[in-house]
Amino acid sequence: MLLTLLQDGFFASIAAVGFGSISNVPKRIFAGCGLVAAIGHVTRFVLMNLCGFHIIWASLVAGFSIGMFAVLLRKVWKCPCESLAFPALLPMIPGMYAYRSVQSLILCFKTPSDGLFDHYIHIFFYNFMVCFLAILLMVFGVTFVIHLQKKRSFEIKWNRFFHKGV
Amino acid sequence: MGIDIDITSVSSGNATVLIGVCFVIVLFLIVYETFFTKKGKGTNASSLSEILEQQENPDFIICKMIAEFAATLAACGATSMQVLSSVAYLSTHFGIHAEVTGLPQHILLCAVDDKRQKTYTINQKIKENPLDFDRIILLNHLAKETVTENYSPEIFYEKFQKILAVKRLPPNLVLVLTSLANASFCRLFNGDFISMAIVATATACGFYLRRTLCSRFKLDFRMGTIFAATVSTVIGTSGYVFQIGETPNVALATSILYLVPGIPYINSLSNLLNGMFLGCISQFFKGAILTICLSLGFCVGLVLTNLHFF
Repeated sequence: MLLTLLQDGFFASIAAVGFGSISNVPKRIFAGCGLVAAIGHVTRFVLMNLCGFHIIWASLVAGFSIGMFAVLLRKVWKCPCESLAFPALLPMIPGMYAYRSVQSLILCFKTPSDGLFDHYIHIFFYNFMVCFLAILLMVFGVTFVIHLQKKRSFEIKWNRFFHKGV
Repeated sequence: MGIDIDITSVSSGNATVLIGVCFVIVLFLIVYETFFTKKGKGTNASSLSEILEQQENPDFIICKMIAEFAATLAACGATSMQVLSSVAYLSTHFGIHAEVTGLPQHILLCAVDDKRQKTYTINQKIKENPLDFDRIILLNHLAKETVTENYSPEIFYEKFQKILAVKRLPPNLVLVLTSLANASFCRLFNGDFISMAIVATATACGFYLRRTLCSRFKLDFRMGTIFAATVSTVIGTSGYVFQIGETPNVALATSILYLVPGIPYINSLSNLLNGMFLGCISQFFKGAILTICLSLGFCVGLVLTNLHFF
């Protein structure tokens, strides 16, 4: 089991670094992105496979964990939380659900009978909704944590600035 | 509730020839790029003195700099919150009261000077720019550093221009990393090692094709995405065509996933949760258009290889 978890984390970190490189993530934070992505993906894997969570709720919890670790590790790599967290979210995008949505949509247009059309529309909406909600909730998890941290840090800095001014 | 693939339809088509054609096209582009193209020259950055010549009002120059700074951040793919917080740092430091509004193509900056006598409105165009996290990090640092180190507008602008001149990661390194990333993605969906190899090849070919078409031949990015998705889909069907590997369906599904515009979607939802609805809609449509393009390329690839779902 431990080997499976390690493998999951390892491939998730490679995926995060690789997809992040398209968005020109600097080389010095590759390790940070990989680490945060591995933590997030392993969290989701454990929740889905060991605790029986649905992918949507597992994504939410994984989003929270990515957000928290991005906030904790931002000072180690000296970068904004978003730069660590957003590339780490990329391997968690439920690509297979998106693929099945497109696949069923193609079949909707090709099918001659109403019954089959309803069946494929059902598959389309199911996959599309799971994909959409999983992305929405994992981004919510990350943004919520980052927003709380930013609000707190901005208040502290603002108070310091204000008192210095007085 | 599954959908499967009719293997007989694949073998009755010209999939083998098409896979060969895709490789030939990519090979031709590699040869063309290596031997027949010249590297373009970089544009010279404008200095602050040039701007000073155009306008002598210092407050206007500061507003113009902040608007340019905000537009650069937005062009690199920063969230609206990041743009707003950086503008807040800079405007407080330079002694103006500025409010910034992010529009789909422009940044609108409305500012009042410290004595509240003059108001300035600047509409700064957001230049087309690929996503750039490195630049976002550097610009965020610069905004904070300007406050902590008490930079003058001249020093700030000089440092800003230096950041704009920083080069991106080497393109071939990005190509290799993206191929490895997509192969890893295939593994995460329980694909076997043969499927991973197919996905890595499909990604490398598609990514290289899009990069060359868009940078060397100045093709529209959306058109480039359609061509890349088509080539990646055709190569991604190798598992079915040559009947290799245990998970050809995973290989086919994953071969185009590197084209999914993840960052615009994430930014869109981040803007939504922060109440920046205009930014949310703009980013969402950016992502949606690219998703439509990749779906179109995927469909074209399926039609060309005569691959039928049932």
